[in-house]
Amino acid sequence: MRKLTLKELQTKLFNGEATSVQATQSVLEQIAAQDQQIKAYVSVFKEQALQKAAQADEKLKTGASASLLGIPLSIKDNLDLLGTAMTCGSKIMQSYISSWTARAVQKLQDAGAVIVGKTNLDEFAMGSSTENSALQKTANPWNIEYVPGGSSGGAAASVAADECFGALGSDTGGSLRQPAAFCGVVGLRPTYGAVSRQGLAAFASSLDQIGPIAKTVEDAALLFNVIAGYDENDPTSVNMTHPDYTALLGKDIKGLKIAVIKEPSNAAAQSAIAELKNQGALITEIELPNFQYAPMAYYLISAAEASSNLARFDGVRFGYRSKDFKDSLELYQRSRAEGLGEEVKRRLMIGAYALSAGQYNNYFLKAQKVRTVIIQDYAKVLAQYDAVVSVYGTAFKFGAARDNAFDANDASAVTPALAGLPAVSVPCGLLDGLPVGLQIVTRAFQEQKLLQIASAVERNSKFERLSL
Amino acid sequence: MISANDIKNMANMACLALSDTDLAEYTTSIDKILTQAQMLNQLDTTNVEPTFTPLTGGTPLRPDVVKPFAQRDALLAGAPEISGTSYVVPRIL
Repeated sequence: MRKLTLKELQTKLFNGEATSVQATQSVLEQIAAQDQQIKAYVSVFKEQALQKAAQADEKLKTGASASLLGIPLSIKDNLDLLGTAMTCGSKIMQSYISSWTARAVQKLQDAGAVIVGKTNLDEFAMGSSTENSALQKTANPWNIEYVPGGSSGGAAASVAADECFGALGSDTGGSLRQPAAFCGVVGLRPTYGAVSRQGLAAFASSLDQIGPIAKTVEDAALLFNVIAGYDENDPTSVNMTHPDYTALLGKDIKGLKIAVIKEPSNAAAQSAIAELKNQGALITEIELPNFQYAPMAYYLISAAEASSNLARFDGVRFGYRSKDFKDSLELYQRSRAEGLGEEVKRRLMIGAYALSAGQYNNYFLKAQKVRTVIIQDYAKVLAQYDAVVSVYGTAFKFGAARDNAFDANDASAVTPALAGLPAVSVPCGLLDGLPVGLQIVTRAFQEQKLLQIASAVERNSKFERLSL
Repeated sequence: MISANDIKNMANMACLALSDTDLAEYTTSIDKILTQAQMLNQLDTTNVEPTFTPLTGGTPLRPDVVKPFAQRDALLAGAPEISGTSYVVPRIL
């Protein structure tokens, strides 16, 4: 049963061919069998999940049909869930218990979902391999010598290994899409403002977005249908009517104009793009030379915003407190130094420097101007084309993080985030036994079209999901 | 070129204590990143306005209003040290 897609399980639950308790037990058994190696989860709520599943089964018997009723899901451990620990992958969050539930998670629960556990991440979502977690190293379910990507590496691995039927993660500069690509699942970064960020531990507020990781495009659309919407507690969420994001799935893409970014590619991606052409899309190769500046602009902007957001971790109101201090300043400095990891500290220092009086114009302001150029480039291209397509590289081995963190793959990941545009990564094949993800970007709030094209990539694809 | 003194200033701004080992490591790694950051100057941004948020219309604001919060006790319980309804910090005066 664990191998079913979310949609298939939903159908079986509504038809009475399966129960939520059976589905929940199947993923709990898979977690017990696989997660000692994969380490996708940092906490599993076995008893609570089975209890919620039993309650869902009672509701299903009465004909209730909330869209996620009885479906076991995971959530990334930077999302609050009332009364449970939230680590953000950091030692400084030691003993932190959430006092509320994130709005997006609440929406899942209101739709009947069963939360089975919380998944691992790079500390405060800063990283692209999940190696920066202070808790554990998550492995790629396709090959445990490889990273799952990040920062939502636990979320992507949990879905790929059938340890849940879908997941929520967050994406600041690729953190949903890149791990989804590495793990052979679908990762959707919604338009900035489409989903409330309330209850998401803030990393870089002008970039952070919550989104689904799912086994299929249809599953991602079903999850996005639930979490999209305005929330007065997140003033950056946009007050608008959201359409049914499954409505265009399966519709033909004949005549859609798709721009493919000219970059190093591979056979799997080329085959997927050829298939889009076969289905009637008009493919044009384009060059976007300014995108080479995006990874560095992203790094500076996100570090600057993080230096402000993470100032709240001071050893006073929550989390880790150093035992070695003689005054307030030492309390703050030592609690932060002992509680935060190396990469986070590096970014906080660079961020504070980029915002400082003497350096603001050189770094932060310059980066925000580059951001404008990226937005303008996307606007020009998306005025002529329905979507922009690019390719993610495959997973790399543990410890082999690229020396140059600002390469072409990162440009694919960060540019939609800088522009606030929706983007999806959809698996399109294998390279040396590891999944390849194709990224699609559209204009803001055009997720219907985005998912329509993603489902066209899925259609006739030779890619087969992992079976463990 | 970033110096060890620059890193000390950065750590001070970021409110971080650094060991000597940290200082040496961060001097190397942050110098490398900030040197790479100079690449942004190759892009002419004369007359380009900065973008601080992708939202059209700029950052939204809302009234700063106190609202009741149901889990007040749970918030306090998560602190490393409390006294009654107060957080305990080292004596300042």
